[in-house]
Amino acid sequence: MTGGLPELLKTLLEPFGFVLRALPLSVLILALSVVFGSMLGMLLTFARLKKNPVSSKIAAVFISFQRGTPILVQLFLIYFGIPRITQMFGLDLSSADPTIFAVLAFTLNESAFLSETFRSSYLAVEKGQQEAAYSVGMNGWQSFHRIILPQAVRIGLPNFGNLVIELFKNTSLSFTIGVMDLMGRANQFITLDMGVKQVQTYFALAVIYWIGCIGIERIIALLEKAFVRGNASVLTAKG
Amino acid sequence: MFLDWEFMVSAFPKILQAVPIALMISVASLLLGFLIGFLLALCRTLHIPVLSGFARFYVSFARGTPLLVNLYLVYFALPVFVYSIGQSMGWNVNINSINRYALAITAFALNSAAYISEIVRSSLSAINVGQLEACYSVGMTRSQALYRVVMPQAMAIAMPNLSNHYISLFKGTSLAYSVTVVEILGRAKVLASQGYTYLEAYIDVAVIYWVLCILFENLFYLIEKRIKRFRAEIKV
Repeated sequence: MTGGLPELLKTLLEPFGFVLRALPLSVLILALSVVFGSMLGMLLTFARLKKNPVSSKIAAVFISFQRGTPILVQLFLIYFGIPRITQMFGLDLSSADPTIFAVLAFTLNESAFLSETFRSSYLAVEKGQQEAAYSVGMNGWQSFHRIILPQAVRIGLPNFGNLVIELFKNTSLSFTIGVMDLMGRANQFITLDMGVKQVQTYFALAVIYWIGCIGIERIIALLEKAFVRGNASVLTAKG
Repeated sequence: MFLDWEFMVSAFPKILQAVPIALMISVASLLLGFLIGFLLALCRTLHIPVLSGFARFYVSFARGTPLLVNLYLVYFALPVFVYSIGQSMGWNVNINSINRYALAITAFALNSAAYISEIVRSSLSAINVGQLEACYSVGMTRSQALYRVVMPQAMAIAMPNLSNHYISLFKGTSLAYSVTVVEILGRAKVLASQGYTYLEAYIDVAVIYWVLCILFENLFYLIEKRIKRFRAEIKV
């Protein structure tokens, strides 16, 4: 090959500059989806765990639909369906930023998966903790946010990390509705050169996503360190 | 006509024929991935010197790279790897004879193992050390304690997360068509290519995936309820 190693490095590194310009947007979509998805997910978990059969059933159907249908289908439904519906009420959304639709779709999808994770980590806290909290006179909210929630967060963090990493890779689908995120920029880079630079661009994308996921893992590990203080579980047993 | 209804109705049973293949791949990958993932979780939590670093790197790589990339790596790189080992050992390995289903299952299992190791790690961390101490105090060995007391409780906690992961895995098997395994989406694409009725085929596929995912959800929920039979839980 002409040029040898420096030439190879130059080819491999070329797409990074162009594609990384979209990193803030991808991170923004991810962060917004995680935050709103968590809030909606907690509501869903709450609805599912309550004894009320109506709210429990509605939540179950919503979760089932969101988990069972592919994310791409949901993305298209929201991007094409919502402007159609609001047009009937006179609101013209055809020139709205597709990023909003992408965040909405990912929020709804992620909230279903997150609600199951929250449900599992909430129910994993021992009943004795709640009984002890009540026995010293705390009411429901106090026992929840002082005793149960910190333990539930500690238990749920690795699963939460799993879901955030999957979401980060799924946000790459938002290029299909026109969002110029990492994948969108990568495709633009490829088409600018008539499709000859596919290999190094996808290689660069894989590296960027991997480094992003390592970043997410580091953040989750830091959170785990913060919440694991004082925990005595099977994992910390000696011998 | 807006949609080719005759195609949708006639193709539906033909696409359904591919469901057992997708089920086989996903279930086998889940079980194999659970085995490998459990070992990875043990490596990390017991802080075994070299293996725990390898486990961390492996989890990071398998989760951080897309599933398609993992599939291609296993499908293209693994036979070459096996062949070169065979060469150095003097065996005569025919790499074309490696079953493509085995490769697909291996790839999905290796990807799942990383996610499942995190799920197992989280469920083990939820069990109080008092359980383990009580087991030791009645004379059980560590493996007896893990098998008889800790793992059943850990399974109860892990079930919703495993259900999450299995649904993602099952939808992910749709990528297996890119490594020549004809499963649900692959079969639909093949059938649709005859008349270019791709939209109708994808609608069929979406319905099939949705119905199957509803079934899986309920199955996992039943299993979870059964395991949690005698467990006292927090009231909301």
